Amino acid sequence: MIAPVVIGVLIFFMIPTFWSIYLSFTDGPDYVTYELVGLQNYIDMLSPDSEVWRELLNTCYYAFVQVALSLVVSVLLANALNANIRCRGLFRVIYFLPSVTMAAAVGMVWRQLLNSQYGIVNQFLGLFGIKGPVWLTDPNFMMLGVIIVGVWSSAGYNMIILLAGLKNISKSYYEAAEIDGAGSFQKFKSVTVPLLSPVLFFVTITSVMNGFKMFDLIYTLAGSGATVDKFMQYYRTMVYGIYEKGFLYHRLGAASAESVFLLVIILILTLIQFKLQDKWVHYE
Amino acid sequence: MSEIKLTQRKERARFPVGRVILYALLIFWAVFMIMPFVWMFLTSLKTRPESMRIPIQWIPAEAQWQNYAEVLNKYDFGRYYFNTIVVTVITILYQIITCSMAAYVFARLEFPAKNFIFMACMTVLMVPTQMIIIPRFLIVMKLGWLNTFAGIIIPNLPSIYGAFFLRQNFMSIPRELDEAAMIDGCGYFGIYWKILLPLVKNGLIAFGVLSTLWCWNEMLWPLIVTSRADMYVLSIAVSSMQGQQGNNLPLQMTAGVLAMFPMLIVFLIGQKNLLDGIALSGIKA
Amino acid sequence: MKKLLVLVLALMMALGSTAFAAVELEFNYWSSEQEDGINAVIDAFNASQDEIHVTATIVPWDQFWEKLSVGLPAGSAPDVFTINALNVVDYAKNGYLLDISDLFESGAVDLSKFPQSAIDTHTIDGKLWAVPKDYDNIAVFYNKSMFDAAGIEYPTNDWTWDEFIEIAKQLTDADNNVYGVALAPKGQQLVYDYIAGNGGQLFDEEGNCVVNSPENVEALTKIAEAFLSGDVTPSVEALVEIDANTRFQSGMVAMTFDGSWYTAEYVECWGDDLGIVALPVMKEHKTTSHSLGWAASATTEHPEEVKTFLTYLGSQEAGELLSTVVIPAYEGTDTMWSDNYTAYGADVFTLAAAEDWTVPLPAASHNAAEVFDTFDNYMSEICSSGEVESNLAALQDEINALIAE
Repeated sequence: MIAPVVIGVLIFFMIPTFWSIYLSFTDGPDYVTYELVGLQNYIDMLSPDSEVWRELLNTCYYAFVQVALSLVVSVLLANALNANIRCRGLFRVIYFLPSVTMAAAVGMVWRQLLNSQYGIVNQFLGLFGIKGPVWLTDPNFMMLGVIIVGVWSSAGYNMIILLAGLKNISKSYYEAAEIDGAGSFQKFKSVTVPLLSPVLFFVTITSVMNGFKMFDLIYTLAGSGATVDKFMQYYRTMVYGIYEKGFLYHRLGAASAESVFLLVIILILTLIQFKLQDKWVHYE
Repeated sequence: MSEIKLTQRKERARFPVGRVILYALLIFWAVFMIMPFVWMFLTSLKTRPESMRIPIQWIPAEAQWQNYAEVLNKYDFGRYYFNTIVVTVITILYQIITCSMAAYVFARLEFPAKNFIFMACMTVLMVPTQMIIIPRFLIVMKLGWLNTFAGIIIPNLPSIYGAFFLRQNFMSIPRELDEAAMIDGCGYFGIYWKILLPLVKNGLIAFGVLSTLWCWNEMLWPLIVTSRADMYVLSIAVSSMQGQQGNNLPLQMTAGVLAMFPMLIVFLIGQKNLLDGIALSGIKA
Repeated sequence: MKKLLVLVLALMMALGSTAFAAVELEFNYWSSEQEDGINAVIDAFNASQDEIHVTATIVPWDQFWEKLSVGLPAGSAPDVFTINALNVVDYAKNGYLLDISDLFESGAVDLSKFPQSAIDTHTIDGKLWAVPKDYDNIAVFYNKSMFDAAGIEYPTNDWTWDEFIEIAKQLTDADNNVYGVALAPKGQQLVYDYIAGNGGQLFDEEGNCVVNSPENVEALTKIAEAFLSGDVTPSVEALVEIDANTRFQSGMVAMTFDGSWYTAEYVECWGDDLGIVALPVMKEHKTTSHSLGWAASATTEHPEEVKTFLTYLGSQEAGELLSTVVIPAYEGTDTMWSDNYTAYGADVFTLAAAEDWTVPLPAASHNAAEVFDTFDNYMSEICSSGEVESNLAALQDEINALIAE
C-alpha cells in the first residue's frame, strides 16, 4: 500500500537527487556532454571571493528575519483570535487568503505595490508623514521588501496552526496563573509560550526550511526589473543562484554543487533545531 | 480572596480599551492582507493610463470589463483552464487515495525498515526543486512524456507531504477501533477502507484542498515539460502575460484575477475543513 | 483505479494530438509583438502544401532560453525556433543546431538577397547556422506634443550629442518627475552605439575584449555625465522601478532610445504625436544592428521537412508577409515595412542600413549571454557612480576571463 508513494518518491525525487549530486562533480556545456572534474566545482564555490557567500548571506537574512517576523505576527494574531471576539471565522479566512494565491501573481502585484512613486505601501506610509524608502533599488531595503511580502504570504498559514495549538491549552492553566496573580503578559510568558512550544517548533522548522528554499518571490518580484548584478546581488538567494547558473548560464556542474551545499545547510539546520528542541520545547 | 477580586475588577475596568486595540490590530492586519487583492481587481478594470497615475487612482472612471473578454479570447485562457483542471483533478484524486494508503501504513503497521523508509522520504522534503528538475526532466523524456498530460502530472503525483499530513490524522484515531475490527475478521485493507477512511474524511478534504491549491499554482515543472502553447497551464499563462504585456498592467492583473478566481472559490468552500485540517497536522507533529 | 487513470490519461493524450496526417513541426519564438506577421507567414506556408503542418508558439523571453537550454541537449527542443546573436555562438559550437549549409549552397535560399551584417551575425566557424529573419537598429523616439509644449523644434538626423543634451535639459521638469529623455544604461540601446560612434570597439579582430580604451572612456564619460547631471534622464535606480519604455508610453519622458521593433507599439500609443529620428552624433553616425535568424534543432525528427520550411522562410514572400510587424532581412522587403510608418519617420531605420551607419551587435565568442549581462551590469555601475576608468578596466578583465573559460 505504500508502494505508489514510495516508488514515486524513489523515481522522481531520490534518483534525481543522487543524479544531481553526481553532476556536481562534472563540468561541461550541458548535461549530456560533460567530464568528471573531481572537486573543482566545490573548490571554486567555496573560494573566498565566490558569489556563493553573498547568496548565503541573503538567504539567511531572508530566512531568519522573515521567519522571526512571521512567527511574532502569527503568535500575536493567534492570541488575538483566541480571545472571545466577533467574526473570528471571517478573520481566519481573510488571513489565510494570501496562502491561496499563485506565486506568479504575488510578485507581479507586489512589484507595483512597492513602487516608491505610485505604490500604495509608500502612500500609506505617507499618511503618517513617513517618506517611504525606494524598496526596489535601495540596497538597505530591497531584501526587507521581499521579507514584507514573505510575511504577508506566510503569516496566515502559521497562524492557523498556532491557533489550533492555543485551543488545545486547557483553561485551567490560565486560571491557576491568575490565582498566582499573573498579568496578561505574565500569563503569556509562563503559560502560553511553554505550552505552545511543540507547535511553535513545528512551525519554525517548516518555515525555516521554506525560507531557505525560497525562489518564486525573487523570480517574480525582482527577476523582471533589476536583473543586472548591481541590484540583483542584494536579492539573489542560493536557489536563485542555482537557477541562474543551471538554466541561464549553462553551468550545470556549478549549479549542482551549490544545490548540494544548500541541501547540507538545510540538513544541518534541521539537526540543530532537533537538538535545541530539548532545551525549550515542553511536551505536556 | 479579596486580592483576586481586585485584579478581576482591574481587568474589567480596562477591558474596553484592550478590546478596541485588539480589534484595531485585527482589522489593520485584515486590510493589509486584502489590499493587494483589491488593488489587483480594481487595476484589472482600469485603462492603461489610469493604472499608472501618480498619485494612485483607485477607482477606474469606467470599468473596463472588455479586459476580461480580451484575455479570455485573444490569449486562449479557455484552453489553459481546461488543461489546468485536467491536471489538478487527476492529481488530487490520485494523491488522496495513495497518500491515505501510505499514511495508514506509516501510522498503523509495523514492518522492517519502516522508520528508515519514513525518514528517507521525509528528507526529500528538504531538497530544493531546482536541484532535481533537470534529472527529472531527463527521466520524463526517456519515458516519452514530454508535451503530454502524463509528463505534467505523473512526476508530481507522489506526495510525501500528503502522506505525512494524513498520517497525523490517522494517529489521532484510537487504536482500539482497529483492534475491534480485527477481531471481527477485517483485514488490513478492510480496516483502512471501511473503518478508518470515513473517520479521517475531514483530513482528506483538507489535504485535497491544499493539494488543489499547490497543483493549480505550480509553474516551473509544467513549463519545463511543455513546449506547445496548447499544453500550457494557467500559471505559465499568467507569467507569459507579464513577459508579453510588460507594461500593460490592466491586462496582467486581469490574467492574475482569472487564474486565481477558481482557487478562491475552492478555498471558500473547503475553508472550514482545510483550516481545521492544517491545524491538526501541526499539533500532532 | 489504475486502469481508470490510464484510460483517462490516454483519452487526454488523444485529445491533445491533432487530426492532421501531415508531418507536424513545432516552431517557437518570443517576439509576441510580431504575432500577427508571424502567424501570416505560418498560415501561408501551411496553406501552400499539405505534407507539413507548422504550429507556432510564443514563449516569453526568459522562459524561451530556459526551455531551450533544457531541451536542446536532450533532443526535445522545438524543430524550428528564432535565435539571436548571443545564443547562436554557443548553440552552434555545442552542436545543437541543424546544419543547413546545403540550403545556401544549392541556392534554395539566395544569400545575395540578405544584408551582410545579418549573415555575419549567424556565421560561426565559417558556417551559416540560421536563415536571416530580420534586422533592427536603434533610433530616438520622441513625443511631438511635449516638444510643442516646450516650444522646441523637432530634431533632425544630423543633430549632435551636445545639442541632444541641451534639448533634453530644456524638456526636463525634475520636480514633476518629467525628463527630457529616458536613457537605458544598456549596451544595445545606448552604449554599443556610442562605443562605435566614438571610434572605439568592444572586441578586436581576435575576439578579445578591448573595452578599456581612451575613445570608450571618453564616450562613457559623456554618457555618465548625462545620468549624473540629474536634469537629462531619470537615474539608473529610478529606471529599475519604472523602465524607459513605460515612462515614454505614459508621457513621463519626451524621448527614448529604442529599437525599431517597438515602432508599432509606440505608434499605437502616441499616433501622430510620435516622431522618430536618428541617434544624435558623437563623432560619427553609428547604430547597433542586430538580426534574428530562423534556426533548427540538430535532433529534429524531420530534417527534410524542416529544410522545406526554412526555404520558405528565406523567400521573398515570407519577407513581404513579415513586413507588417518587423524589418525583414530579405532585400527590398525592408522598405515595405518602413513605408507603413514613413509619416512618423521610421524610414530612419532603413536609411541607417542603407547609409552603412549600422554596426553588428557585438557578441562574445564564448559565454555570450553571460558576457552581455556582465556588460550591462557595469554600465549600470558606471552610469550611477560616474567612475568610468576603473569600471572599464574591471569589465575588460571579467569579460576576457569569461571568454577564455
